[in-house]
Amino acid sequence: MKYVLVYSILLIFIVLSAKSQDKIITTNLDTIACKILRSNNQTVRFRMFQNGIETVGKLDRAKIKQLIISNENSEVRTGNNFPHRWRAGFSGGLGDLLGSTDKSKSSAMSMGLTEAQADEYIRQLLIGYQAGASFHYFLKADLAIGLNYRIFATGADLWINLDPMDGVHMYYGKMKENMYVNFAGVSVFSRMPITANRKLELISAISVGMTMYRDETSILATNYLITGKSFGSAYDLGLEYFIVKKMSLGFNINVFSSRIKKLTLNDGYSTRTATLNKEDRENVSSLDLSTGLKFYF
Amino acid sequence: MKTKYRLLFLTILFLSVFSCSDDFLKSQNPEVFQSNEPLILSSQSLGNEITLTLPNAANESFYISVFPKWLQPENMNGNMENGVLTLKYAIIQPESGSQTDYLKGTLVVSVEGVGLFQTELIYGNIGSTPDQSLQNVKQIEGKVIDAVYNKTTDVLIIAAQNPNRLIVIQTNSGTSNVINLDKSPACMDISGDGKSLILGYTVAEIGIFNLENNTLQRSYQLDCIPFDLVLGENGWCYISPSDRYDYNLRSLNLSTGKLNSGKTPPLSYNLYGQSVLKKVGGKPLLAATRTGVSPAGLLLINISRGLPNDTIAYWHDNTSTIWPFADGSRFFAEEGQCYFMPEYIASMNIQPGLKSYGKLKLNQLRINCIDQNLAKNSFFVAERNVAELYYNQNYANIIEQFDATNLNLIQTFKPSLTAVKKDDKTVLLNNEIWYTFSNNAGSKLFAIRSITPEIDVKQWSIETFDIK
Repeated sequence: MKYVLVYSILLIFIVLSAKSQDKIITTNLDTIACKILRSNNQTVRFRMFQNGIETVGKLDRAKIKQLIISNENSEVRTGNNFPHRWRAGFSGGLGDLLGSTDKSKSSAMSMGLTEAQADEYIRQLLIGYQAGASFHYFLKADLAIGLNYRIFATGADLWINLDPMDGVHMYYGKMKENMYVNFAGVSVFSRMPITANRKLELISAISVGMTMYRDETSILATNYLITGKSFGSAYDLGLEYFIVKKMSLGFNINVFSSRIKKLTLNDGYSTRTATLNKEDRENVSSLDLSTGLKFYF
Repeated sequence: MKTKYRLLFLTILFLSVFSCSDDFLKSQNPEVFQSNEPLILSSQSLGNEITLTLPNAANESFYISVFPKWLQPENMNGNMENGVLTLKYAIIQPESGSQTDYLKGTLVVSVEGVGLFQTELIYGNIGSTPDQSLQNVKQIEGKVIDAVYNKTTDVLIIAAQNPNRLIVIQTNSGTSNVINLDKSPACMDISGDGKSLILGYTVAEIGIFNLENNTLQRSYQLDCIPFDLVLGENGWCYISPSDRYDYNLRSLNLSTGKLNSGKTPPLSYNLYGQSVLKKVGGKPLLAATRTGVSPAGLLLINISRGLPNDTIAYWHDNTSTIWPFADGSRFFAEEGQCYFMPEYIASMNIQPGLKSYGKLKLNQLRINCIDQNLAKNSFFVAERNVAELYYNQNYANIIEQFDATNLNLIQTFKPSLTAVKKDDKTVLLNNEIWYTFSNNAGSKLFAIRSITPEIDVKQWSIETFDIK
C-alpha cells in the first residue's frame, strides 16, 4: 500500500513537474528543461533536476535563443540578441501647472476682478490636457535614445467686470485665455521588466530640449498673443503592459520643468518684448498623468 | 519597415495638428456703429427702461460691454428681438456726488456677428427734451411777461407775448383756456374773489377781463405806459408808470373809468417810475419799492379814500423788491430780510429804519418770487444766484419752503433740466424760476421758468411739484 502511495505521489509530482516545465533553447539549439526562476536583460536563473538532483543555474542572455515559459507566450529572440530595435509612443492625459499663483491672482484682482473671479479663473487654468509622442532607438535591450515631444494645453473663460479707472465707466466681457506649452527635445529611455514573462515593465525617460510657450488671451474683445521660448526638461516614470508582443499600454507620471525668461507681446498692432527678472519668469512646469500606446518593432 | 515609416508619418501628423497660426489676432476690430444723439434718461420717467433699435442686429446675442458706473443694467447678456434691445436698469448715485446736476457716460452694446453699438447716456432730473416734455413739465409758447394765482379758485393766469395771450389754467383739473390779445401784455393783477383780471399793456391802456367767461369786459386809456399795477380791493386800480422820471402814481376808478394822475414833485421820498406795487393785506395801504433808484426803499401809500393820501411814508432801507404777508403784518425783502410792516403815519414822510423780524437763510443770493401758503403755514421762495435780475446765471435756481412762523427751512425743490439742441448737439440747460405759486391746499407747487440764457431762444415752461 505504501508503495502505491509513494508511486502516486511520484506520479503526481512528475505530472505537475511536466505541466510546469519551462524550456530554455540556447543559441547552440540545446534545450534545457527547467523552471525559470527569474530573468532580466542580462541573465536568466533557472532550476533543473539532473539525475534527480535539484540544481540552480544561470545563463547569460546572449547565449539564449528562446525562452519557453509554460502556459504563456514564448519570448522570441532576434538575431541581435534583444527583442526590439525601435519604439514609438503616443500618450495623453491631464497636466497640472505647478507654478505659484499668488502673483497671477493679485494681478487679476488689480485689473478689477473680484477674489472669487480671480480664484475661478486660475482654477480653470491650472489643470489642462497634455499629449505626447516619442520615438526611440534601442542601443541595448533596456536603453534607447530618441526624440520626445509634448504639448500641454489649458484655458480659462470667464465673464468679468473691469474697471478702467476713468472714474465713470465699467467694462464687461469675456476674459478668455488659451495657453499652449510645446516641448521638443532629445530623450534617453530605459526599461526594466518586473515580471518574468516581461509583460510588465517599469520605464523611465529623461528629455531635454526647447520649450515653446504660446498664450492667446482675449480681454473684452481685445486679443493679445504672448510667446516665448526657453530651455525645458521632462522626467518620465511609468509602467507598460504588453497587450500583444509589439504593443503595450502605458501609464506614466511626468514632471515637466521650464521657466520662460523672455516674453513677446503682440496685440495685433505692435509687438513688445520683455526680459523677465528671475522671480517674475513664467513658470510653465507641470505634473502630468498620462496613458497611451507604445509600439515596438 | 513599413510599420516604422507609418508610425513616423503619424508622429509628424500629430505634431502638425498642434501647429499654431496668428489668425486669432485678426479676429478683433469689430465694426462700430455710433449714435448721433445722446440717449436722455430722466428721473421723472415712469419706468427705468432703455429701448435701442440696432440695425442688422436681428435676433443675435448681445452683451453690454461698456456702461457707466451709475447705471446698473438688469441683464448684461441676452438676445435681440428683431433688432430691438429693451434694457431695464437701476440708477446708482455716485457716493462722491456729481459736479453737475446730471450724470453722463457711454453705453456700448456688443452684438455677435454685427459689431459694437455706442451711444452717450445722460441721466438727471430732466423735464423736457427736444422731442417731448415729461409729465411734470409743460412748454409755454412765447415769452412769459407776468403771472398771477388766485387761491380761492385755484386759477393760474399767465400773460405771454409772441403770441400775445392770456393762459388761464384750472390747476385742480389741469384744464386751460387761452384768451388771445390784440396788444402785448405788460403787467396784471387778479381780484381777491378770482372773478376779475386787470391787465396792463405795453401801450397806455389797460383791460378788465371777466374770468367767469374769459372775456374782455372793458378797456381804459391811460396817460402813461403801465409798469406795474395793483387792485386796491376798493374799486380802484393803482398803476406805476414805466417812465423812470414819472413820479406820479396813477389811480383809476374802475367803475367810472376816471384816471387820476397826481401832481407829485420829485422828492427823495416819492414814488418814481418803474416802481413795484403790492397791496398790503387787511389794510387800506399800498406798498411800493422803487426799482429804478437806490436804495429802493419802502413806500406806504394810504388808499383808504380811494385816491391816495398826499403823504407817502418812506423808509430809506435797501429792499429792492418786497413781498408782504397775506395779513399785512410783515414783509420780505429781496435778500431774505423779514421786516415788520410799519404803521402808516400821515404826518411824516421820511420814517426811521424798518424793524427786523428775522431773516431767511437763503441757499442762493436773492429772491425772485415768494408765494405764501396758509394751509402749510409756509412760504415758497424762488431764489436766484446772481445779485442783479436778468443777469445771465447758468445756475439751477431752487425753490425753498420756509416755515412762516420761525422762518426755518422745511424742504427744497429743484427744477428739472431742459435738453435743447444747440449747434446740432443736445445740451442740458438749467432753468431760472421767475414765478412760483402753490395751490390752496398746499399739495402742489407750480414754477414758471425759462432756460438760462445760453442760447438765443428763451424757452419757457411750467413745472409742477408735489408738496409732501
